[in-house]
Amino acid sequence: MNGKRVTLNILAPLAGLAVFVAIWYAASAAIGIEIVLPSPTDTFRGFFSLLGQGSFYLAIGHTLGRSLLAFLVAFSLAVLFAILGRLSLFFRKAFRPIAVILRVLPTISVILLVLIWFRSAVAPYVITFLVLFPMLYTTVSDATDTVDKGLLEMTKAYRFSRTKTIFSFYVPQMIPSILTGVAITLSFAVKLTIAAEVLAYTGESMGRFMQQSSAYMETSMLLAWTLAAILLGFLLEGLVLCVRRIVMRRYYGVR
Amino acid sequence: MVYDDVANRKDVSVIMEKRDEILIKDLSVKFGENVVFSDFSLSLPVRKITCILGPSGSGKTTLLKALAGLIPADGFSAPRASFIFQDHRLLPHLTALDNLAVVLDGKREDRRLRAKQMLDDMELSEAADLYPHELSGGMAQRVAIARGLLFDADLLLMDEPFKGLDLALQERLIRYFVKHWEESRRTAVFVTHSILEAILVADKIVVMGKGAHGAEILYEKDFDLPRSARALGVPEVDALRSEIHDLLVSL
Repeated sequence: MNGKRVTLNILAPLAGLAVFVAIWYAASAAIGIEIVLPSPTDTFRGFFSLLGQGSFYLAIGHTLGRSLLAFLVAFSLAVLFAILGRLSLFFRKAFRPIAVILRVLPTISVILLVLIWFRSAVAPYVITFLVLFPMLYTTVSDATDTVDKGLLEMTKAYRFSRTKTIFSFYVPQMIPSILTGVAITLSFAVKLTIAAEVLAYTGESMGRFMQQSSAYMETSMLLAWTLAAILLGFLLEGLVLCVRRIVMRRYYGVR
Repeated sequence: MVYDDVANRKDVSVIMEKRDEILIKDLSVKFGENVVFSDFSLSLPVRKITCILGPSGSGKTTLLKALAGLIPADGFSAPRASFIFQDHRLLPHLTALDNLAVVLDGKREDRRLRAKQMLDDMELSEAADLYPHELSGGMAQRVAIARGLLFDADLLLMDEPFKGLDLALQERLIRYFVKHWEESRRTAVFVTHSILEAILVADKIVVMGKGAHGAEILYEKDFDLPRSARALGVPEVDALRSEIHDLLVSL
């Protein structure tokens, strides 16, 4: 790695973080009330104390499990509906208003309605699914629209069967943009699940611990849990982008 | 063989294959109000190369697309045809080898074996494991030509496949193409803007123009001088070249 790349890829982000932490320190010192704004030291101390507790990992596991399951169901249905829409214009037009309503529906309305209709253990799944599904449907559906029309014509000229067209043309054409969309949506799924857990008071969850920290005015612990949620989001986004890089290298010859 | 199920079609009426010619009869194609073909007829000699010349907008590409069934039409079953496009149109996620194998049917290993054989024949062995973006423009176009020749079809359609390439490369690719075409001798329709290209490869030359009621044929000529004898300076070649040149300039 040459000097310019080190500066851009490592030093610049570190400098940004350092400025952020410095402002945080300064603000916390100026306010001087830990309940309102604990210092970064207190927050990191809280975070490290969480690392030693079994319930921390259990909560992360449950929240992550809920996010991933809701995401997978939403993603699978989004792909299925987008493909159905590609194969049938009638289906596409008929489903369009539903997709639009789901997309513009205020998230808080979804959350409040679901809290009335479902038990607290189920609500986070439903909320995450309902918010993610229209986003993913749009991502996948747009990806089917942006395929290379010249290549599509080639598949027709060379008499590709429907199966071959889907698996040798549409899927490979769509995967790069879908994986980019997935990386962003997956970390959003974690944020949504946590919000739903807070409001539904779901047991054994990051949301529940955050809710408790807020109720007991343990602001440093609330920030420590927030830090854990940020790291989890980073990790998921990084993992998907890593998968994307491997896929691009392995199947698209991007070396 | 008669493609009789096209008789009821409104925009492409009849395409028939007789013993020695494929006859396109009463072809009509419209895009909205724009009439591209109206009762257009053309005979393509079987197992020979027909080159089509003509100014832009005269319907050359539309003719190829109609023949390949790429223009939407109810009740029309286009003959199975290979199509070599102006650009290579290789799938970006597949290597050159797999871009050839993907147009074949059958077991994967057999398809790849046939594809490899074709790449070897076209002197493209070194490109087999490369992706399209790793190939030079000329090489990618050669892979696309190889794909067109490998695809199992009686009709071979080519839409200015050598356009935009430098002259030396064009000449090499034409040589490759003719060499491999000689082995299969499929009925070929070759659209080009280059008079010389047409004269070097054609058994029949057609010049199309745009008339008041869609495309029309302005000139048709069978050219049976052996390909090996065709070169600039040969009287027949020069005479034909100037004849077609004068016609095109007058349009």
